[in-house]
Amino acid sequence: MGNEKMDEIEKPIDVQEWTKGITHYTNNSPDLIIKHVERDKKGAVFLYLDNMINHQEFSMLLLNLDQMKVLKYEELEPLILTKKISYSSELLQTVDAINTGAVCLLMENETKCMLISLSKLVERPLSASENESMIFGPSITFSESISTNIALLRKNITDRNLCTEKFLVGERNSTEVRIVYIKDIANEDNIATMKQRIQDLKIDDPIDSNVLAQLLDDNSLSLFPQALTTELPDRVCYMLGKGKIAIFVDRSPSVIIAPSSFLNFFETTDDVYTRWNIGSFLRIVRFIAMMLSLLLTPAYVAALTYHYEIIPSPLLLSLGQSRASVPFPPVLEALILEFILELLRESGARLPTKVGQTMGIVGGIVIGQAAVDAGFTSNILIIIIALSALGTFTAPSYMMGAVIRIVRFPLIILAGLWGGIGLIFGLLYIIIHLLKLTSFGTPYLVPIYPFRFSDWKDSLFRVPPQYAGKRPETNRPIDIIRYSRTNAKQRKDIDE
Amino acid sequence: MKKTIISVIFLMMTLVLTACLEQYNLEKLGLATVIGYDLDKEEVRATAVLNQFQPEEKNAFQVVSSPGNTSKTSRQSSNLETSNKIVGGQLRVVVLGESLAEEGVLSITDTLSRDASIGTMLYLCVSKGNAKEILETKPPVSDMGTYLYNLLKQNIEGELLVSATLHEFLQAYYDPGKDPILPLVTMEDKSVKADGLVVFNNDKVVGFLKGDEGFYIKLIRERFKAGSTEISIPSESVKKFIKNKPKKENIFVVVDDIKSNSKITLVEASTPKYKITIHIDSVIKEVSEEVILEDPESLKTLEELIEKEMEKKVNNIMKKLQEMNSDPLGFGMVYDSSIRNKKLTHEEWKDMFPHAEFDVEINVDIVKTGIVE
Repeated sequence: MGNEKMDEIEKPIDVQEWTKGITHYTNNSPDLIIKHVERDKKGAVFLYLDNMINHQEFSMLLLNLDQMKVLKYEELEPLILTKKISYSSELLQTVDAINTGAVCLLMENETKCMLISLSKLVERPLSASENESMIFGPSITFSESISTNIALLRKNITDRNLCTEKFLVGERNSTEVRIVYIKDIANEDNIATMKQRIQDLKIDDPIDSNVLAQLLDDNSLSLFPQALTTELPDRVCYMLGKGKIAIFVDRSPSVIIAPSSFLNFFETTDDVYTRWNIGSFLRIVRFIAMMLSLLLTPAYVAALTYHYEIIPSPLLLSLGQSRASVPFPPVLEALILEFILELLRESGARLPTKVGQTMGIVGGIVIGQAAVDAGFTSNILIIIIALSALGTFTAPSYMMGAVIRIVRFPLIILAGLWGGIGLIFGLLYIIIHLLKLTSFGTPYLVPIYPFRFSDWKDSLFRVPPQYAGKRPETNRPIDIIRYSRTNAKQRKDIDE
Repeated sequence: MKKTIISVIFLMMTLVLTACLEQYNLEKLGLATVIGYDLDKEEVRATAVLNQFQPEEKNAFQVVSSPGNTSKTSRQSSNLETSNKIVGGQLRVVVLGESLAEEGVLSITDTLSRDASIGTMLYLCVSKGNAKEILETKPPVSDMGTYLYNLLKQNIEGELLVSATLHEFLQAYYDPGKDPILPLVTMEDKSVKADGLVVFNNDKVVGFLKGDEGFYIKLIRERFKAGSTEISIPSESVKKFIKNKPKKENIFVVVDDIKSNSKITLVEASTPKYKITIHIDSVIKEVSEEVILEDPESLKTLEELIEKEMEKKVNNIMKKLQEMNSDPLGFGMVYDSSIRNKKLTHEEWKDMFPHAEFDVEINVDIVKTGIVE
């Protein structure tokens, strides 16, 4: 109690001293502008970084000040209606605020300084998604500004239970992080886990939400991503409605969705927008594509190196004939071709768009007839490699597609060393790993393991809406019903 | 930490051991798609058609043939004749030469069933004359292995031949109440064709059945659909239904069997005496004379005549089989399952079968006479 009283009758701040201090702590920044204003023999100083503030708003503020006779914080406050105002009596805190675009007002005979947030918004206009393409649904994506992103989310969710809790992450470069969830849907244990992990994080700079996702991972040694990141607001809303938690990070257009299961990486809102049977079909196609791209090349290697018996006889002739001119064993052949494909993909991703087309043509020729004609590979392998490459891109999450591409390499080597047995051992290893993996404490393979059949309805496939009235049990939502089945069955005709 | 190091070392060791695993690189193999076995003096001569892979040639194959005391030694000496390693994993058909088949084929089939790389779904057949001759001819399409395989497969699926996989052969052989039956392959004017069936007593060939007799074997043995047979009926008996004057003594009716059901029951155990009941739903596909089929009475007469003719044929076949003392239809199995408290032995059944009596009852239903009506 005594201390608090001491604070209240604190000494008034020395304007000159503070000005000096701020100049020092902003490292004599050439952008720092110190503006002296005098009113009724009472001196006041504005301090701000020139390029960080919105000048239009600032000049309006000054104009208003001109009309005032007395300078007092209390009188000033009503003039600045829309902007955030805070007070500080600590020098370093003030410097931090100036660095993020606040105007600091120092007055004589006052115990604290006034900080008016007039920061200029540095952002691009909202654009359509380029990385996660969809056929139906809204095409707008998140941008790099967290305030815009939260605004975008609020536009999508009007639920008054929507919570956006703010945290600051980063010791040196403090970044705003928001944990977003719907209060009566998301499970409290999950929220607590998430909060605790973010609060415990001691790091210079989280850089991006994808980096933050890696820092919050359960198992950072694993190949598999344990948190889904997306830049689509409607996908975030869909996931929030399922009882998941979203993490927004300032400066990053992607949003972390956690806890995510393996199957979540294969869901898109496209499946939800199409009718249930088409949606189910699309999901199943994606799983088959993933299995094919994982297993086709290793199976080719295993069959051609050890298990010639299993090759169907109509294929035997053409396969053997095209293999006969290849100088490498099947393992090497497959590895070389897979590597060439990865090379093409990676260079395609790094190339400036202007030269991108050239690469496509070169790639098409190299991994095309030319490679076969030169006796470099068999043409069946080219089909297999092309199929499996297509398969990896069906995963709606780029991260998951990349994992499948990488996992294929050890599987090919295993198939080349031990044939089918090696391939099975490799697959078993992956399955055991997936079974052990958790995402923020939730099993990764849910609802397959632990087995929750009721959740299959909206993960492996989709069922008609009247049978999918419940939210997934996996996230242990508080309010489990999202759609009443009895209401769904009622159809009212105007005629009656 | 120690544990990790040990497991890493262990993994490394398994990597080194991979060199011990035998590789079968497809392009370096001579894949035997068909193997023929003949008796060559005292030895077994194995002839194999090998698929060889060459970049320029689509259908490169080689026929190798060499004798040996066992089939494996003959394979080893065949290996000396070819640039690629001979393997049997893609074996589809095994042709047993007539000379060998008469001496007994068990040593061959037994070896085939022991080899893990050879599937038991491969087809067996017996060749008239030497198997080597058949394998050395060039078939009209692809190689002999694929040709023979497709020839047998399509005829078995078309219900013209009795199915004869290695598995079925061994099952029939080891069952005391059943004998194996295999298709016969002959060569005529440098072309290979399936021609009837071969019946076995134990593992030795004892006789042949003609092509149309195969139809009845199938009819009795299993429920089957979509096979057809030609039946001759004396013209005199259907005279009043024939529009014009019959040209020949017999008219020929092609009966297409849509669906058939057969039932073998043991009526009396001591003789033993069997009752064979067959019900056939059939379609008249072709008649050599113009018969008024619209008349219900004519259909009835036709049905009766066909039944009679079929019964006669079945009785003939049964008599033939009894003379050869071969039971491919599995009457012994019926006996064994009907008589309890007693296990039928092979010898017992061989003594009983020639004395067995059969009462054949065939019921033909003509459900359709063609689309024209």
